[in-house]
Amino acid sequence: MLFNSVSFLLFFPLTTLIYYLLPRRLRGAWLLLVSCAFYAAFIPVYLWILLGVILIDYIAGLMIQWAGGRARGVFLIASLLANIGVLAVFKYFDFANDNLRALATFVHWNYPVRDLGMVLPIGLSFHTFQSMAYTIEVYRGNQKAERNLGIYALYVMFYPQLVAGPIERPQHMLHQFRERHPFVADQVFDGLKQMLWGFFKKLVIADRMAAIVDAVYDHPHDVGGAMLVLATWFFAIQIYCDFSGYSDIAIGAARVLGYQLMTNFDRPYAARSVGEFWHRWHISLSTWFRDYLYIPLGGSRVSLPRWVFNVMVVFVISGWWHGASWTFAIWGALHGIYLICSRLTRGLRARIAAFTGISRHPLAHDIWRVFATFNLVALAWVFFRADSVRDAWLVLSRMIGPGFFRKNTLANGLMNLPLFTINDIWLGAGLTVFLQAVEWYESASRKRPIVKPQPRWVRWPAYYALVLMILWLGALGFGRTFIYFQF
Amino acid sequence: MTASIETIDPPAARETPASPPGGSGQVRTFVLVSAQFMAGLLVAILIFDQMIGVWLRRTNQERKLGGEVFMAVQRAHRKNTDISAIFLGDSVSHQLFRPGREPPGVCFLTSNQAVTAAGQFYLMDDALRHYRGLKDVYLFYLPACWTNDMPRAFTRDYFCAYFHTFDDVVEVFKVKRDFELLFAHADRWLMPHIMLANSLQRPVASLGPAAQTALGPRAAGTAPLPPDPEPLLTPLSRWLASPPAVVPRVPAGSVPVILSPVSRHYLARMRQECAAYGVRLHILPCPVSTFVRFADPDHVYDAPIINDIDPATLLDAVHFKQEFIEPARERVIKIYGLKCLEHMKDDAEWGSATRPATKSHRRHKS
Repeated sequence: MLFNSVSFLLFFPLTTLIYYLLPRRLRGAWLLLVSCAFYAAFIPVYLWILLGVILIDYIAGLMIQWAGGRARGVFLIASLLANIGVLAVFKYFDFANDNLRALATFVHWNYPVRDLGMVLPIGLSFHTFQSMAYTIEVYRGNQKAERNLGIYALYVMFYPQLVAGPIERPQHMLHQFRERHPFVADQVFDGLKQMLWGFFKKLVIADRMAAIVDAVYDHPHDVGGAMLVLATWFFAIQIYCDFSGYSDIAIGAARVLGYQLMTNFDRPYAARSVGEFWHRWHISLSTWFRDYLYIPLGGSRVSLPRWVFNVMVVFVISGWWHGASWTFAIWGALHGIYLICSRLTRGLRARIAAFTGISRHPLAHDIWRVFATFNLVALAWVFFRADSVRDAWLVLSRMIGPGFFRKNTLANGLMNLPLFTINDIWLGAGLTVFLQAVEWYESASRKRPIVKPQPRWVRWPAYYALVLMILWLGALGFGRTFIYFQF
Repeated sequence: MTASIETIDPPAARETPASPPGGSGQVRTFVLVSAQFMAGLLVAILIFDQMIGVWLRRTNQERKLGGEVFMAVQRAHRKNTDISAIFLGDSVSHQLFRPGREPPGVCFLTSNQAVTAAGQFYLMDDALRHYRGLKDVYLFYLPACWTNDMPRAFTRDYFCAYFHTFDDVVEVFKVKRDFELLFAHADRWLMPHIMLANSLQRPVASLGPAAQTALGPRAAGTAPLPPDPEPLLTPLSRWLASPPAVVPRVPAGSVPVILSPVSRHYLARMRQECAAYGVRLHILPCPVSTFVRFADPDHVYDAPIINDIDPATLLDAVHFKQEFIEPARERVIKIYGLKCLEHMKDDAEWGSATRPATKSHRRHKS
């Protein structure tokens, strides 16, 4: 079920009301039931795959705890293989097969294996990673194995974060399913406000920008470099608002039910370096890779060549986590290269900053660093958004070559109207400024609340304005999926 | 996002004395504050809706998404006793009979097929009430347009946005029995101007083929799309759905004119309404190319279908190229004996509803 659907607007209040009306002992079962219904609304049969993975990891967790010696490792590996196996079959088989076929064709070998052509279960990468986090933590002794199958199933299936995260850790989440969650009005209001902000980001900013980005990226041959730069900037904002909007709705919905989910975004485009960007973007995934892949590989306390290897492995796999395509791998690799270059050029950049004198003006220096980081990240988004590596190269060549000044020849759409107008671009730019201002203000208000002590007649109009903007400018009624649903 | 906007301000409940978690005091606080908030929101929506209404009336919406429907609705609401004939129809008729180019005594209310037969009926109904001297109603409709049964992609912006009185909502629901449409339609009834502005300002690209996918064509092949974006409403709608359109038998090599349930219902309503007002209704086909041979076994049309248009004169499957609009119009007037159009304004801009195609557009079409 999409958060941005009428069905969810009916589903959420109804299930929440019943949740609070039920006796405490039945609430967990109710949450599990509605989570199943939420997931089954996409493709019902895939619920069985999810339940199968849950059962395997539940048993594996218990076995890891009870077993001793090498057997623990065997059970862990069995659990990891089961999770990665599901991912391999549904997500990576056809991709690997396509590449092998291409290779076979190159050496004139008749390749017999056909594609599976299966539809990817929604949010597969999210819940398999969450499951893997559980068994790894049990293996490490940081988490006791969960004996209650219902609670473990709820840990994986809790519907607000089931299909697009945040990817939770068992230490943070499992105990919450055992605690009492009485109705607290403040908490419900807080959750609803966060959901409202999430809906605003998704419906008003992300989906409006998506129309412009799609129009440009679906016809890269027909547009000049300037328009491609603009569309790429817009895509950077679109994907942020799409994904962080989802996270806000998920965190808000969980909060209404009395649960705390982890933070997933922290003003990523205010980052002053690519390293900092990864501390602020999709935090639940970047910390997952840090804890379960980067550090086991040796982290940064290794020789420089080994560190370069570690970084590239982590980022290329992170790219492939998003999708089985070379574009995603290049996107991840680019971020890895950014990080490596960032470390290798640290001294040089400090000397340049000192030479130009910008280091004596911290604010100007920060603004420059934020601008540069944003554009580096946006450049990588080209590979994330383009339909193929060839398209991505075309986009990049237009952006930095003579094609920058090429005239746009995008065909008109319905009734021969332009696909988008200059007003749409200005509105997109205005919404971006508004978003940044609100987030900057939010960040500042953590230190010194300004509106917080104000009476209702000052605060409520802000919420009314958000609702009215959603109604007026939001992409309502189209049920456009969230980008990260496909991962 | 760490705390998002909840840090902007505190929950309103904090203003009331704290009560223990889970206690009845918490529930009371929640209900009280929510009721106050919702009441304020309702007032804000009502005020904003009126403001948007004024803005819409004062600005030109012609080159917006569905702007041609907006213009037709505006014209149908202006009282005029001099009008004796109106022309309704789809986008091809909008090319041929472009509003603003009509001779005295005639009003062109042509729009497009996305308003469906229901929209054509409601436009006609408005005109019948405002044009007291009306004698003839001409509906020009492509044979294929009768199959239109209010598809989700266009109906909200082209139909619901304009025709949403309480009676319209009820009648459409009785015909379609579609709960998703009911919600969309009811939205427009509650907040007519805000939702109309929402439709008009939507970028045309948002209706494109990639509109439902997450990352465009690449994702369409690999990413799962929810089979039903409205899992709670769609099954209900399917359960109650009207029986599908009946496909009449026609000779081999021909394609029948098929009336969808919506078209069938509203065509009958048009005939009833015209009879009640003593107005003649002429259902006429827009000219179609030789590409598909149409047959009309149910006698939907009051005249034979002009089925001999050279595909080379068309921009796409149905719309005329700029230079072929005027000859086509003259031919239609002559064949169907449209005497009321004999003294039409001679306008070089005739048919400019379809702007000259860009180079790339021509390339794509070719």
